[in-house]
Amino acid sequence: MSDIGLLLLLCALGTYMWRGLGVLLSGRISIHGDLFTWVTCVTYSMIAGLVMRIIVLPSGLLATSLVWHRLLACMLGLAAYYLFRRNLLLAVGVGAGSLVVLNYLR
Amino acid sequence: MHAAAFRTGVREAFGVPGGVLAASYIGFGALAYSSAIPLWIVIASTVTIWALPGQLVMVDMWQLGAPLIAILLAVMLTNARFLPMAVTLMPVIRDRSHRPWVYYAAAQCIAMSSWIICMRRGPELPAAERVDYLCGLAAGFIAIGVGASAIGYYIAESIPQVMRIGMVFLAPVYFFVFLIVEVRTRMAAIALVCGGIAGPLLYQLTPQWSVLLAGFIGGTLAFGLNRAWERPRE
Repeated sequence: MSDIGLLLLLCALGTYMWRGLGVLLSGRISIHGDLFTWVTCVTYSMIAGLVMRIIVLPSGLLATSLVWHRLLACMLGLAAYYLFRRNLLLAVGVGAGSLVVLNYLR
Repeated sequence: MHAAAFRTGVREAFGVPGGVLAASYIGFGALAYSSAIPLWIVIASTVTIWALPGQLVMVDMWQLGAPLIAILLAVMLTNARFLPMAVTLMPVIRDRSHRPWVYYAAAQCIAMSSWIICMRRGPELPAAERVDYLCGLAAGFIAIGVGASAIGYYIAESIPQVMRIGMVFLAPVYFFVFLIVEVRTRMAAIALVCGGIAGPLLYQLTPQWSVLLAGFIGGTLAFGLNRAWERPRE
C-alpha cells in the first residue's frame, strides 16, 4: 500500500475511534468538563489556523493571487452572507467569484 | 429497518445543507487536485474519514511533507469533537428495538451536518425510526460529498486557470464564513482569533507542525483567556 493509503487508513480508524467511543461512553460521562472544553478550543483553533494560513500564506495555485485580494474576497463573502438572508451557499459563491474577478482584473 | 424513514433522510439530504456541502466538497476536490493527491484518496477519505476539516488537514499536511505521526495527531485532534457529538446524539436516537451494534454502525454517520439536523429533527420522529433517518441523511450527504469531490477534482483539471483559482478558494471561503457566522460562545470566538493568528505565524517557523501547534497553542491560550475572563477579579 502506498504511504498516503496507509495514512488514510490510520486517519480513518483514528476518526472512527472518537465516534465509537462516544457511543460507548454515552450516558456515562459528562461532556461539560474541562477536558472537552479544552478539546473544543483546540479544534476551533486548529481549523481557524489552517484556514487563515491557506488564505494568508497559500501554496500552489492560490499563491499566484494577491493576499489582499484573498482577504477582500473573504470579507465580500461574509458581507454577502449577512446582506442576502444568511445564505451560506451564496456567500461561498460570492467569495470565490470575487477572487476570480479580482485576480483576472489585476 | 424502517425504509420510509431512511428515504426521508436521503430526501432531506438533498436540500440547502446538501448544496452547501456540495460546494465545499467541490472545493476540496479542486484543492486536492492542485495538491497532487490521487482521486481515489479524495473519494476514499470522504467515505472513511467523513469530516471535511479533518480531510483538509490531512491533504494539506501531506502536501507539506509533514511526518505521518504529526498528520495523524492533527487529524485526530480536529475530529475529537465527534466524541461529545456522539455522546449527545445517542440519547436522541436510542430505542429498545435496536441491537447495540446498530449504534456503532450508525456512529460513522455522525458529522457536523447530519448531527445538527438529527439533533433537531430526531425528536419529531418516532423513536424506532430515528437511526434509519440518520443513516439515510448521512447516506445522502456522503453521496453528495463523494460526487462533489470527484466533480471538483475533474473540473479543476479541465477549466482555465482563471476560473480554477475560484474553485481552489471555495473550501477556505466556506470555512472562513461558516466559522465566523456559526460562533455562538465567547470561548469559541477567542479560540478562532487565537488559532487564526497562530496558524500563519507558526507556519513561518515550522510549516510541517504549524497546524498541530496552532491548535495546541491557540486552543490552550483561548482556554486560559476564557478562564481568566470568567473569574471575577478582586
